[in-house]
Amino acid sequence: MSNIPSMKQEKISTIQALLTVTSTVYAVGIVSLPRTIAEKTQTPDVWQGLLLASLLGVGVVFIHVKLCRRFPGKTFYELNPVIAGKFIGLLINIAFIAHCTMVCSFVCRMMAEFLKGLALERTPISMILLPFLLLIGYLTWGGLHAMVRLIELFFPLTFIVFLLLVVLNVNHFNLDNLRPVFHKGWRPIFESLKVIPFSTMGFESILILTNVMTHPQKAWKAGSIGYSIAMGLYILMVTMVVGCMSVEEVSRLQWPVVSFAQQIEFPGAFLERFEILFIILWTIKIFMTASNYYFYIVTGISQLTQKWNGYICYLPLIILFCLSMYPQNFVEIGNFDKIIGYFGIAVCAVVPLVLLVISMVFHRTENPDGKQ
Amino acid sequence: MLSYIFLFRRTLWAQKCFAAWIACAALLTGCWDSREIDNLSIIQGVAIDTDQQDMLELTYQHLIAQKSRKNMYSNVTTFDKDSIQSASREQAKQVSRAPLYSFIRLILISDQAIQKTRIDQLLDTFTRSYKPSRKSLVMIVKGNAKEALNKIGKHKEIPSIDLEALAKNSDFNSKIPYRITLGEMSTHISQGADFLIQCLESNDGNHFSGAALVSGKTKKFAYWLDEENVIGINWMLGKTKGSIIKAEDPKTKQHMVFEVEDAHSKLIPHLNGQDLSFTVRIKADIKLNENSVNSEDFLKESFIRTAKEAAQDEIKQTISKSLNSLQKEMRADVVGFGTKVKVNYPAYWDRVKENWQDTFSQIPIDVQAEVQIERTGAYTKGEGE
Repeated sequence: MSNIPSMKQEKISTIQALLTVTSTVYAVGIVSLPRTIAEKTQTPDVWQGLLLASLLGVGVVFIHVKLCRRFPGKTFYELNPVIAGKFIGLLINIAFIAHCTMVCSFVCRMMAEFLKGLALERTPISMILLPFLLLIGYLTWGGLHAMVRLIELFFPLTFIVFLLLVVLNVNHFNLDNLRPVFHKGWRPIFESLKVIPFSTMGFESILILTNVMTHPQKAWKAGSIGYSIAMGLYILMVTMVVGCMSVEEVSRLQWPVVSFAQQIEFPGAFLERFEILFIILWTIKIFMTASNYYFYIVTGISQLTQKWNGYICYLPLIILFCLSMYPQNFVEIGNFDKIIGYFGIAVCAVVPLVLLVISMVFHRTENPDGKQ
Repeated sequence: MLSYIFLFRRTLWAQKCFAAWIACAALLTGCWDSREIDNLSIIQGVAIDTDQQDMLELTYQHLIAQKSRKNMYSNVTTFDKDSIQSASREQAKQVSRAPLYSFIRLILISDQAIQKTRIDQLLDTFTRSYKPSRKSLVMIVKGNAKEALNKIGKHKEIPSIDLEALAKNSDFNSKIPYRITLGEMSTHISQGADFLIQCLESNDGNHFSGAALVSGKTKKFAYWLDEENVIGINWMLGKTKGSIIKAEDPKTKQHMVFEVEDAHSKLIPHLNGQDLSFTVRIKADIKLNENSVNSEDFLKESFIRTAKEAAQDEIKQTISKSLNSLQKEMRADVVGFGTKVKVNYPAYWDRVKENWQDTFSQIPIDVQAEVQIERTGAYTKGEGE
């Protein structure tokens, strides 16, 4: 019998794992990412920092896969206590759950702010959040398969609209906006690395997914390719936005990608407001991201309590709701973002690395009888 | 059995409650923002003026959705001392329906207004909100913008829609500067660059006349550009595709008219030590549209050569003329020479960017033009000798 009641019977295919990783990564950062990077660099060197960060991210995926492959059949939550001992393992698990909770609530809040700013002006934020969160709870109640199927269904759609957004803006593209390259040396690029972490988050999903795959030996492939697709789209989008609107303009705009979507001139009056499509797409993407993270929260809790029932599935939504409603304005949301970024790096990159080193040094792997 | 029913009802109670909760949340969420379309007033055009007492005048063109061609729109004007947004809210006193800003096609600004107030200040409320599109066009009106928004077009269209279509005609005539949208303008303002805005005159029917130059430093109106200068600038921007070149045959002094099928321009900076110079290189494919030169064999090499040279000279002359007035008279870099320096010689740019105006007015600029005559039309010869 499994250790985590919520998810053990279900296995997912390689392509499903790949798409899940991709959809966990690319969603929330993208609307404001061009601005946050351009603010820091002040030069057109926007894409190098992102490229560097994504290479590091692929490295982290490699660590995660290595770690999980040492303990076949166990998720991150289960292998922690084996490596680090019961108490520290518990702490790590709680930290990971806290990280997922923060990301999930931040993502939901951003979605609500976004919808309020662009479409639902008079609707209270709490009322935008509520149905969204309830739907996430409902999806999670359906289990891993339901979530993964949803991602499979929507991924092509979001991908196409994303590409359409980039392609239809090609006539605004001016290479001069992206030059000169490396004019101020490496300093602006390292500056920009301060703000990128949160946007590159999402590799942690491979910690959970590796050992529920039908072929765990392909986890590295799924993780790295899925992550690279997402980061490739990120880099493409940031480069295009800056290439079309120049660094000076991008660093002034709140959501450069929305303005980017607004300036599309579609022949004929048919798609006069292209950003509507973008809003819909983005909401779906955020739904996928948020439901992924929520699923990891629920998995963690059900592992800690060794139970699986409606309370575990739906009660964390209350915490999420409160946490999403907590920031008062955009400054606080921005600070929240930064905290999540650094905390996430610590929990999802540093901790697995340390665990991997420990398990390699002390030769801790999975024993058939489960004893150490 | 009884216990089973009891259990059934108990388990379902929570779920029923939950379902009702979801239904309420899902159904109620839309209600805050529900708007009936027949209670909305679609705004198509905006005009900004200043009157004698320095009050801002804001005019909205409200679309009237009716079948009759008589009342297609109604213009409503409101005033405020210095804020566009508060003038806009004044409209609520007169217009019963709620305004919908999503389909603003055009913003007209009178020359008075732009001379007094900074342009980013005038347009701030439109670029700040996400509702007006960044695709809306901006034009300057010589005289009264309110009146220009009231002149029905030649095809009896609503003025703002007519003017929006008119703005695209820079594809046919290079005397019309290329259209500028809110988004592009916002970019220029952020970069602190000088830029051109299409200029309207509305004494009898709206028509374009030249362009208005907005200074990137003061963000205010700087100069009027006449049509000759606009042609040269259009050539340097590479936006002359579709327009014509009227050249004179050097021997016979008679004219030839070419249509530009494709045009490209390149600004090439050269830096020798501290001396900056530029080469402007124009490449164009043209075709002969009208010819009054007699007895020439069009397919002969000699005619092609003379015609080519005539066209090249014409292009060079126009560009030099407008460069001259841009450099010496207005000291304004609307074509983007500064960007080219910044991109190619960033270290040098850091030194000169503070007083780029002075530097720009001094740099020697060499103009090269290269045209290819691709077609000569239906005739192969002139009329008989």
